[in-house]
Amino acid sequence: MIMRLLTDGIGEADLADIGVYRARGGYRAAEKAVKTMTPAEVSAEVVAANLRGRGGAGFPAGRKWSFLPNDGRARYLCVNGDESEPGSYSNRMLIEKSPHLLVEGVICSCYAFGCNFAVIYLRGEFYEGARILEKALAEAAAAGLVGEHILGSEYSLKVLVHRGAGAYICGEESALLESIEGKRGHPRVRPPFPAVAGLYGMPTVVNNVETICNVPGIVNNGGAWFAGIGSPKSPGTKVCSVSGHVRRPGNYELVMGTPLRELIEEHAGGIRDGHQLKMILPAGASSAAMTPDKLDTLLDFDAMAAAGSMLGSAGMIVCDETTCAVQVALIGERFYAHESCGKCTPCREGTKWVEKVLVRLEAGEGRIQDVDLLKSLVGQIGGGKCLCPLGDFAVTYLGSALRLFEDEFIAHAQGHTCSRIPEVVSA
Amino acid sequence: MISCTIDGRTVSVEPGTLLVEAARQAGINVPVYCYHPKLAPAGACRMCLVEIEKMPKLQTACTTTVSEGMVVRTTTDQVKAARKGVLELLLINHPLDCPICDKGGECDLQDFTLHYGPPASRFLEEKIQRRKHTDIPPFLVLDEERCILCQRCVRFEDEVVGERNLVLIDRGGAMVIGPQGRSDYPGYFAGNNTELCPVGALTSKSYRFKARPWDLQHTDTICTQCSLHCNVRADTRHGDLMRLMSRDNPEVDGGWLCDRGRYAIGDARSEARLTQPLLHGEPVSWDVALAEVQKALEAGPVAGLGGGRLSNEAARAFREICGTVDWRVGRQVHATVPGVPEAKPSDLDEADVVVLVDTCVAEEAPVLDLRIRHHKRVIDVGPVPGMRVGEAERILCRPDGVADALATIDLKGASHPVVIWNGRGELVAAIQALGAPVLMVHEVANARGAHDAGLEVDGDILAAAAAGKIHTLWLAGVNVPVPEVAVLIVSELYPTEVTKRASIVLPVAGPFERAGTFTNLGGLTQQAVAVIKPLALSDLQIFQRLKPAAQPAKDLPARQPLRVGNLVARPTLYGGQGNTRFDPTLEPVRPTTPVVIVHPSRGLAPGTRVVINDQLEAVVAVHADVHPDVVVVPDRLAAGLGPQAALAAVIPA
Repeated sequence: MIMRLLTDGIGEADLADIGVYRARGGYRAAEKAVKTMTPAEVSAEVVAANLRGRGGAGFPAGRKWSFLPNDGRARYLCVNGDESEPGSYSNRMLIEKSPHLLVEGVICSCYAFGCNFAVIYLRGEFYEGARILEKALAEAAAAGLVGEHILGSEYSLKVLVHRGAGAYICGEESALLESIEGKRGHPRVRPPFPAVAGLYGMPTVVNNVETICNVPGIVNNGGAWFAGIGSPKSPGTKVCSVSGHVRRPGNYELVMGTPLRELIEEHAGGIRDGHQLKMILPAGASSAAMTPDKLDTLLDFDAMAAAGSMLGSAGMIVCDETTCAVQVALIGERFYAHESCGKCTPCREGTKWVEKVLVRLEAGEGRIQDVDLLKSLVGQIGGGKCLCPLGDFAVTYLGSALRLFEDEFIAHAQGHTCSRIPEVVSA
Repeated sequence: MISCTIDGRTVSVEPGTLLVEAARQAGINVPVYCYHPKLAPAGACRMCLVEIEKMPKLQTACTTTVSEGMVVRTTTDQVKAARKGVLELLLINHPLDCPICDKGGECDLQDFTLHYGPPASRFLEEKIQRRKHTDIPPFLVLDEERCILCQRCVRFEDEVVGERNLVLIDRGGAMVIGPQGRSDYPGYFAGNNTELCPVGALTSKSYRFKARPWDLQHTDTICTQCSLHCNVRADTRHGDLMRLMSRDNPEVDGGWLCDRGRYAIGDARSEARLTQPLLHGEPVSWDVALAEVQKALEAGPVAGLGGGRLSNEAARAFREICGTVDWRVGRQVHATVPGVPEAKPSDLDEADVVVLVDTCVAEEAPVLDLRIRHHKRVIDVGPVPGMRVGEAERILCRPDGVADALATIDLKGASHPVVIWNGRGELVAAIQALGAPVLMVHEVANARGAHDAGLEVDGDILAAAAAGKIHTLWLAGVNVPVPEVAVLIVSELYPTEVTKRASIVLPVAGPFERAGTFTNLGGLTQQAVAVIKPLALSDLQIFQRLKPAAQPAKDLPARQPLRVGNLVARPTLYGGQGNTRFDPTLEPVRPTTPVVIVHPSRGLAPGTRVVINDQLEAVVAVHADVHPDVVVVPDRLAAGLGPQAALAAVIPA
């Protein structure tokens, strides 16, 4: 079911204008929080809401905030807007179309855990998003909503927008922190976790854009209200980005627990005429493929995991029967080999090798042993062998495709053409 | 203490111990590439994956700290498969040129592949080709193909050296290491990277293709290039010195060597070495030469100068033979500061405040400098900046204003202050007033040993010689302008300005050709060992063949305090101390044109050719952090202006 908590007004009004945003009730939550609530009360509502992280991992935001040590050190918020997963574009829409919602979310969140400095980290390509967000921040500052003594209170908050230089790895939270510090985007060894030693060594919360955008609604309506929406264990809504062979690709904000079938067949308009669904990559290029028999899976963190994949950032890549499972693997692996930061061995060396084997298969120069070789490389790179989750991401789809579409890999290895229709692919 | 079980063996370790170290203590070797005990864990190579009970996935032993009751397995099939998997990936692009690789025989990639690796590769594709021998002047060669990107060198440069002379370049599969934005290595610690490198990617130009590790004999000894006396392992092949390796002594060097110490061994078999005694320039036998020396020792008042090169035993013998001996021939006049505690190098690690008294540690004892580069608080007093790298609170003063500047420092709030001084000038009282432990940095290697052996006299031997009060003057490893005397004896390794004038020249054994004890700047006495065949008698052997002088020189004129003017003499690492003048390995770093440093207010453009005191031609470097009045001249060149030169007039040439 569509429920527009975050996307309300997008496409109808110019929410990037603070006047329009306020006229529709914007910044009410910020005022309520700062003027009438204690930080602990705001935190308590977010904990009660059971708001789970929308970046992919689904970790409860309120609990993450509670990990900050009470040792008197300054705390920082870093909003993860690196959104680099192929197939995901929900953050980009929120940033560009409803920037004040994000700013208000930052104000409410920072107030809740006693933070006076926030960085909104955007991927390097979000030039437009950065410009819009900077303008929104300037408007908010002029209205006394960010800066010194917000709304006449004792509370002050400085917010910076920081654009990365265009690296997938910087969506990983510790690499994101390194990037903000001006260093090479390499993941850090953990522990210590960011809550203990994050940005410049200070206690830091890293939350996704969409997670933060949910906070104003929770402040306005209460945690109990939010917890009552959607799946009991994954309350709220999720903005799903649908791309691929559907009639109406786009962002759809659905109540958590909506069946995958409803998203694909109703909202996204179903598979294009004359074709059938082959597979869905539900969390972008780095998720395990789901076949049509899984269409009745509910869209929430737990049900998607139980179905053998993940909700993740809900960047749904939909493929019909003209898609070659091997080619999808090659396109993905080319991306991961290019984006591997190079810090750890399996990801740096392994993705390159996998890419080369897939190139060979695609060119009809494979050997039958290559199928087993690929399976073995999936084990050498994935399964937690790498320093950061990117290694696992790099072989998640491949591993699933080798299970679900092994015959296609074998056919390639034997030099046969695959089932895809060349003119459709090139179109 | 907490205990854990690794492969069935229980081991007790300090809380916070990394699993890889706990395993080591239990006698279990966990293979590592990126991990190094002196560097922060990186978790990068993934070679050390082990199984830990109650953890679903394998964990890296180099980033996991031991917790009480932890049960770890390092030999399961899962662990073996992981190691094999990582090795296979490391080897896909590795050139496997072990037969021509310097590291072959002591290479972790070779060794671990033998122990844990796959028997053959499944990689059919072309290996990535990279640059095979990138020259990184002055000392290194980089083979990008052999590099496994463990990042030890990069982390060493960042965490220990603090200069980032080697960095990661590019990303992912294209990533390589190297200098960024330049092609050379401008620091003083390049050689450590060749030891940190687990493969043959970074090698020393001076050792390249010279030996196989299994042909080398190892002898533990110490470096006597400066007064720190870093511990080294000397590797020889068929009696020739091939290379020096570090030998971690936490009290001295912390496991690092500077490039001068490591590489200034190329002169050991130099053609220029003196090997035969000379009498008035003519070669004679040792018997003849020593008989002449003995005659000279009995012919009139005798005095000796030197001691910095001598072992403690040789220094005592020198004093016995000559009677009147002083090691202080340069600008340093104090070896210790009485009345205050003596600090050790390792005290710097605990120190909360370090006061640099007109001393540049990086140039005078580089490895010691690594202990203060990352220091939270350094107070740097003097006309010239004392820190090469790192932050310091500068107290800029004139050369004659150091004592007054020290008086403004209050160390009462500091819990562990350490004062570092190079013993130049009359600052003992001002330093005593600081009330903090003092660490001396000496301008000659065994100044402290010579001081302890009593090689100091009241009065000035050179002035006595000038006044005709000395008949026989013996210079032991000293090259300073001396007045005419009846007999000038010089014991030396190389022909120098004074050997040309000497009545008797005695060649001596080189620094790796003689045994003896040496006392370092922290008061630690250590043993040096002869590692190669001597080309001459050692200093000690010469003294042992002689009888003491009949009349040691007496009634010396008083020692004039060093005059302080605008001329500041500064030691530079490669500026010609000891044998560095003669070592071909150091050719690329040896200063060719003397450089004098002046303040911008003098209006001299950098690179201007100037003449100092009508004697010394030099090129100007401009530095905003030197006192506007001063002219900073390299030590060796300042000596050429005369021992008492204090004023420098700089005239554009």
